[in-house]
Amino acid sequence: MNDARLAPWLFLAPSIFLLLAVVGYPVLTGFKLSLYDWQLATIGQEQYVGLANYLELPGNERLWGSIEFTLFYALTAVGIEIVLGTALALLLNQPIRGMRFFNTLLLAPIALSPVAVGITWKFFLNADYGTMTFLLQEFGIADYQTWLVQKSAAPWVLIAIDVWWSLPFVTIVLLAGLKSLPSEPFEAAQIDGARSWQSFFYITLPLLRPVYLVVLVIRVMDALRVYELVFVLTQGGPGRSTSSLSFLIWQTGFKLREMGNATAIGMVFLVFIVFLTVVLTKLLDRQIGEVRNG
Amino acid sequence: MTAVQIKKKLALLLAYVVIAVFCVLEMLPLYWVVITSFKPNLEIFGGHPLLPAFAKATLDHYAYVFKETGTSGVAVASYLKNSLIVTTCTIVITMVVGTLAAYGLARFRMRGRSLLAVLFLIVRMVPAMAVGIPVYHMVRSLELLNTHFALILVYSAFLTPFVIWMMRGFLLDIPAELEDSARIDGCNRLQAFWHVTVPMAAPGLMATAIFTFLGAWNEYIFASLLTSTPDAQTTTVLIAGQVSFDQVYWGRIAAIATVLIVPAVIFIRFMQRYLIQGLTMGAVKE
Amino acid sequence: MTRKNTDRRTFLKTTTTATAAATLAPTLAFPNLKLKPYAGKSLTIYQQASPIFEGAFALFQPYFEDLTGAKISFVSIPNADLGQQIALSLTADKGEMDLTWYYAVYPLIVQGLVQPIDDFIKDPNLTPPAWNFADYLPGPLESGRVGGKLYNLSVTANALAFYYRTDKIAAAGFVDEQGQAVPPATWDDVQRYGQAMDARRDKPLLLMYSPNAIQFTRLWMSLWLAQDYTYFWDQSGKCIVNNADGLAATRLFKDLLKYASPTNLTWDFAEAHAAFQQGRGAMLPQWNNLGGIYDDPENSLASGKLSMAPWPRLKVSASDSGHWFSLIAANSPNKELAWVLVREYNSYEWQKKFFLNSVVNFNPSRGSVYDDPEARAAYPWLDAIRTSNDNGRDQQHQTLEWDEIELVLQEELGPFITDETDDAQQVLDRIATRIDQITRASGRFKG
Repeated sequence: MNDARLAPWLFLAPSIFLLLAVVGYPVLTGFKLSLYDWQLATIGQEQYVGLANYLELPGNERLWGSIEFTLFYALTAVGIEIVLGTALALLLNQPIRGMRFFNTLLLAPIALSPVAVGITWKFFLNADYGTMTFLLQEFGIADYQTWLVQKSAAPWVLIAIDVWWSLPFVTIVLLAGLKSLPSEPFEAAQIDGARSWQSFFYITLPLLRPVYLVVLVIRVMDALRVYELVFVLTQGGPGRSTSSLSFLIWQTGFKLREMGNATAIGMVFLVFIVFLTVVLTKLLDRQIGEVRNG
Repeated sequence: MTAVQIKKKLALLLAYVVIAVFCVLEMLPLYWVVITSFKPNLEIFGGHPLLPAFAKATLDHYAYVFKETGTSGVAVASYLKNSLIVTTCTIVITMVVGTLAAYGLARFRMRGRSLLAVLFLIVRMVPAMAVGIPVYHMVRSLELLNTHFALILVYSAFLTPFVIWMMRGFLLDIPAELEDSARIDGCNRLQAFWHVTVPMAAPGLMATAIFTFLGAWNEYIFASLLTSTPDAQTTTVLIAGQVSFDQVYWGRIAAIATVLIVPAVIFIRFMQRYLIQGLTMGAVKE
Repeated sequence: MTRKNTDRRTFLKTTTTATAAATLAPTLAFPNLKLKPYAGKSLTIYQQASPIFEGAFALFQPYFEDLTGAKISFVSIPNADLGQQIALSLTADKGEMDLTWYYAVYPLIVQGLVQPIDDFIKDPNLTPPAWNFADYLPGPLESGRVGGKLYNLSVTANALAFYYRTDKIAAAGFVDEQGQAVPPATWDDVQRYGQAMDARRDKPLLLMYSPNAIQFTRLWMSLWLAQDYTYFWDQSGKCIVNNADGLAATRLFKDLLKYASPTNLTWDFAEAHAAFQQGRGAMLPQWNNLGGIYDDPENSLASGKLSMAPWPRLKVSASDSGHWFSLIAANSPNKELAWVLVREYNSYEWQKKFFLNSVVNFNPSRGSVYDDPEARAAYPWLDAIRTSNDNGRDQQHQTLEWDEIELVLQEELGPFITDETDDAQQVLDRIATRIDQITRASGRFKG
């Protein structure tokens, strides 16, 4: 039909236009701005410096620390979530009454604003009147906890909070995946005398690969962006041990007032994310295609 | 009972225990937030953190959220109003624009389809702060700082890809034949879409709308970058701002957080079924 | 630099009544000023969203609007956004804001975004001589001068001082002949007091820390300043924090932790308030304008049992100061009206009113208010406030690199304080190197 050529683009046009204007244009401006030395308070008096902002980046200690922390945080938190989520999903893959009720409770953390989560946990971890101190004392474990001020412990606190926040989601998704698996392969394996761990590794995991991939992609991409938790709980400290890339961009631009540098870091971050997305999407598409068609 | 049956019962028992513990751990902070919002300040600092203090309960913090005015003559409730306005407009725009685009991606096989899909996904994955500064610069040059309009535009742009992905999944589940028969009867594509597809996709639309709601309602980064006066700022920034120079107003924070959380949780309850499917881009059906 | 000049005090006492009478009725003292001369005009003021500022100007607004016929419109902005909003307004062609109060003003002044006020003060049509500019204390005044021009009259003059619980100090045996509690005068005293009170379950000293380390860098800086240095550089601009004095101050700072509450490592500024108000601790280094909230019987268990001393000495008593500067926008169409407002709240009457209000408690910058009998009765530690203001050094002053320097301090001192490294010299050497890098990059240091 004639309309088949034009029609899809009509449906897509508003979205494309919106994204070009509000996302595409700033990205282009961002690249341009990163070639200037500019400050927040003197917009209008920028100086062109070419690639200087980018050439400074490898020497920027804060940047390397941020990259290290951001990657460590994302991979560790998601790793824990996937392992624990799998364990929980396997355990909960039983006829449990009231599962819908439990699901509602478990999905509740998604409804929270990251800022609200950060502030709630800030109070929870307060050494004097926080709930964590209270609980620790009840169980006689420790007097006061000061994890947030120790370079070695602070990143783990943030990871723990992310696990608290996202584990329910991961568990529920994996559980849904488990429940959607056909039973024939398992029955056949049982007849053949397979042990449960064998059927897990050789049947369950391969069948669930697309689900795992999707969860992995979503969670890792989300975790890489962490900002509000850092901003509210640690402001990148102690030292620089919890400075995430997003936080570093804000700190460089708005606290140190070096907008050119901040924009450059933002562009590098952007390129990295785009690259990661494209790679992971190719992987994903294949997997999802298999699921849809199979 | 056989050994297998005992094992099964134990496993089930364990499952109940685990899920109960899990739920308690997850809900603990939310529970704390809600009970704290009713406690007077001294009770928050001095009393038992986990017990609701029914005898001393107070509505002062909620009074602040809904009624308080500073010398600036602006009610704190205006932050809530801003959140509502921005979120509602964002939902309308993204649902319309995004669902149309999802339809385009789901029903047609044109060239560049997969490229477009990847581009939309990229926008969804982009961290706000990576483009935050250029967006700020653009909004400031257009003199649109501290306006609802700027926030609505930015939120719409960043949430539309999500809508597209979710609705594409839902639309693919609706057979195209139904629309085709409507078109044979004389409707054009858009009419078929509106009269046939949309009603069938209603649950998916609801689920997507709720997620868009959450995305806009809870957003912090752009809100803090693009607004800083009470007539434009949203509630998420208000919460963050309560941790101020001289006092941390835990009671107020708890009250504001409760006001933020409760509608969101209620929505989720009703839309559970479709959330998983949409969130996992169709990889899992529930 | 302690002001113990009784001649000056007598002089001020005798002129106090005359000044008060004159400044109470500026319109009468000045014949050319029409009644309600600014009718129909309006001022937009940005202020920090806090009960202190909002309370202060709720008091002041009816008076001012009645006096001038103008309208004031306040915009309350959370502290985190205040700086950005101010910068935005000052750099726009038509700024929204006419006047604000802020602390990090030096970068704005050097870019010419702020209106100098010398001419307003000198103009007899705008500022009656009876307003008495000479009454101003030099300390807060100096921090408002840049390049020889005056830009600011602080709405509150603050420096770090030492609050202490008179009952706990007396119970520990540190009393004078009349049985009054004697506060520590040197940092050695502080340690002695700490040791004497260490046996108690309730730790004697409260120090402010926080995960983001803002407050303890101020405390550390004040210890450095108490070595009688004016910030961190020698004549050539080289950073000297890693010299013997800096090392001593840093080690001292860590030692003080022994007498501090174990939980204060995770405190914010606000949590230190809460603890002291809950009655905990015997000593608290804090801003000298917070006596009102600590002494408020409805909200504080320390009320009636506290006093304040100036910053304890190392070589001298000198602490970091933090003023809230008034700032008239250079792009404001209402500069004159803004000056009238600044002039009015800086009158003797209003400085006293703000000071005596327990929520507001703005520290006065007029010497005469420090001699006012009502003020002295309400705050027996009034002289300590004045001394600490005299001894205060403002680190923001004329240091554009300050934000970066402060970040370096936070990053390096934090792990040192939390026992992750014990080598004070190494930490200080690193700080000095990084500060030198910063000042080299900015051109201040040519070495």
